[in-house]
Amino acid sequence: LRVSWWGGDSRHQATLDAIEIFESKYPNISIEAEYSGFDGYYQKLVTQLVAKTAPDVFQSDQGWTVEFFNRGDVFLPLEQYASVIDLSTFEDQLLNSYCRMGGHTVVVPLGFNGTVLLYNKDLLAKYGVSGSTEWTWEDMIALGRRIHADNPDAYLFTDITDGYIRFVLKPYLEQVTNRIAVTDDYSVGFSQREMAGVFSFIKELFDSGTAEPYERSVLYKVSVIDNPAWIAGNIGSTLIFLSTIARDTAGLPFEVGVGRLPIRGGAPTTGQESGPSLMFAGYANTAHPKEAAQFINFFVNDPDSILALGTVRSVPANQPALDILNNAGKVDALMASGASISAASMGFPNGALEMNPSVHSIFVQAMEQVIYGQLTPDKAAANLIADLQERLAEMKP
Amino acid sequence: MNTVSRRLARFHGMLYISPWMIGFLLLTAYPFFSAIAYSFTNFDLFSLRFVGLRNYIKIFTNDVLFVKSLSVTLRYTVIAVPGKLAIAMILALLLNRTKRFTGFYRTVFYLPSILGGSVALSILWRFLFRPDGLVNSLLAVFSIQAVNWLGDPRIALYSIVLLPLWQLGAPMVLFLAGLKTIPQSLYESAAMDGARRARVFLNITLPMLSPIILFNLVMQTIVILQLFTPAFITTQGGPAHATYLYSLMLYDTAFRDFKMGYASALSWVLFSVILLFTFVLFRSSRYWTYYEQ
Repeated sequence: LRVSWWGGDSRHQATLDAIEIFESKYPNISIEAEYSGFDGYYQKLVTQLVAKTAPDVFQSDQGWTVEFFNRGDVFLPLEQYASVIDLSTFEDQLLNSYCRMGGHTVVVPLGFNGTVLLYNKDLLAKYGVSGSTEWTWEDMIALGRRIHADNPDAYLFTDITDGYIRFVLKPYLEQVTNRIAVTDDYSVGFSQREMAGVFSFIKELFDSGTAEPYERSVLYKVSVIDNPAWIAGNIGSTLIFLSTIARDTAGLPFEVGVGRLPIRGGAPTTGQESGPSLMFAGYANTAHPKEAAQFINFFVNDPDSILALGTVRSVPANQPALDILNNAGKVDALMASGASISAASMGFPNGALEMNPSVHSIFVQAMEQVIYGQLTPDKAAANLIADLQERLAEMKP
Repeated sequence: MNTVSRRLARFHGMLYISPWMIGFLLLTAYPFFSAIAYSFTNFDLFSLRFVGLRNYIKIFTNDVLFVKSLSVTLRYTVIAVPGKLAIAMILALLLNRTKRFTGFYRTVFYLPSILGGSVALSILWRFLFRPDGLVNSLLAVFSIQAVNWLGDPRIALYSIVLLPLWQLGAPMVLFLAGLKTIPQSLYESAAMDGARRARVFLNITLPMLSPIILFNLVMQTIVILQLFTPAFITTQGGPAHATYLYSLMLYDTAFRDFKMGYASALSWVLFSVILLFTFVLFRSSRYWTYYEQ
């Protein structure tokens, strides 16, 4: 059985451990693990799907489900193997919203993910911020100015490029528009004026000295843990996924806390990217469908597997698994409080097209042109809409 | 029996080169020509429709990134190729004069080329040129302010231009071979005429080397126009597309957007650009290369 996933080292190790337990419990099934970082994973998976050589079980992103389903011949309908896979540990509503397509359960959620503000307690305490970090974006800029004026090497915020798109641009936009940025009917969910407003805000983040200059943070693409300014304790906060919290805080010489992502005053939604993001799917053309289902079942329901995996894919999305971890004291305080903060401020589920790498790159391009001062927010917003419309028209089946 | 074995013998040669032939036909010729066919379609791995010249029309009339990446690539090539050849020639001249440890020096200077367009090298580059990397640390010794080599869109391209520059083994060895073939008598007579070093270099060495210069120029231009790894690994084409080399755009179009038809058209445009460069170099060479015959 071939099983593929992406992630960082901690996730790789935990998953390999779980696989080892599986192999000892089911000696007749041997697993070939295919794991890597996120870079190139989607490209490889799509190519494998086309060539009909995809792994029997593969990790997928919530945002890809619709896209893959529309291509057909990708997902194994898991109910057909009900004798070996128990989906009742998941809430029906969760499965309906995220996992069922065409009447079948096609993906199984591996964790419940959310966006949290990760902050440097030591640095913020110096500026009188302790405990609550329930900021509006405006609060953030005010505090950012204060910190940077006091210490020119210090900034309130930084993020990786993908973080600026998913945790700043998108939530801010949704807090304005009250809908997702790219809707499932292949159209753009915002106006030029609305996007220009978002771009102006992002520009202000940098101009005010709130955010570490983009030309520095852009160098560290995968995780803020690669950013020397963050490690040195010169950055007050960043926005991250719950699922990467272990990686992003590994070995930090200062204390960190988690808080809610910033929200505009009076916003109708939080725009927080939350929900079950990582999924396992069985491949439609697998030669061993039953064993694939058996493996997925083991992964999400077997107590030994749950304990081995811990929270490397964020907190489990099924209550029994979460209980097992909690009872074993395997959910660390940071993860637990992040999970509850995120659950209390959920936004919309991701649209089917928003996570498409090609759509994503169009957002990055426009945002960078604003940040580097190559285009005005207004012009960049106009370009963004035109580029998106053109690309979406090409993608429309 | 006899005629059969004789007939078989005729295919002996073919048999010997068959591994290469099969590889060439399957992995080079087939994709090469099928790309022409695909370039007239909107193939996206899942569906395929004939679209005529539409891909090419879009490339030349309505593709901002094509213009951007072509200009980045041309700038890159115009700096990297002459730069690389100049350094290779200087090293060859120096090596030509060393009397001791020649083998050692040649190996040392060839070494980086063996690393090829390697990923490890590009990652090394990323670390060297980080704001807190080795390059800035060295500059700090001389009290020069730290430079954001890879994050500043105005500088990033020049930082990664340096990457292929030190992989100059092949052109260097060719220059060296060229230098060895220059008859010593020319230098002797120049010395008798009292010619100065610069004069000797300009009027003897350079003209005598010119065929090799042409060859190196053509080969390196072909290689560098297609360079991929430095930009892909070190900067991923950023910041703000400042290092968006052509082949990187090609890769994104094919493997991120899955616009295989459009990518095929782009690759044929690149092929034409390379062809054009080669043609111009060859045509111009009659005015600046010197052959003894």
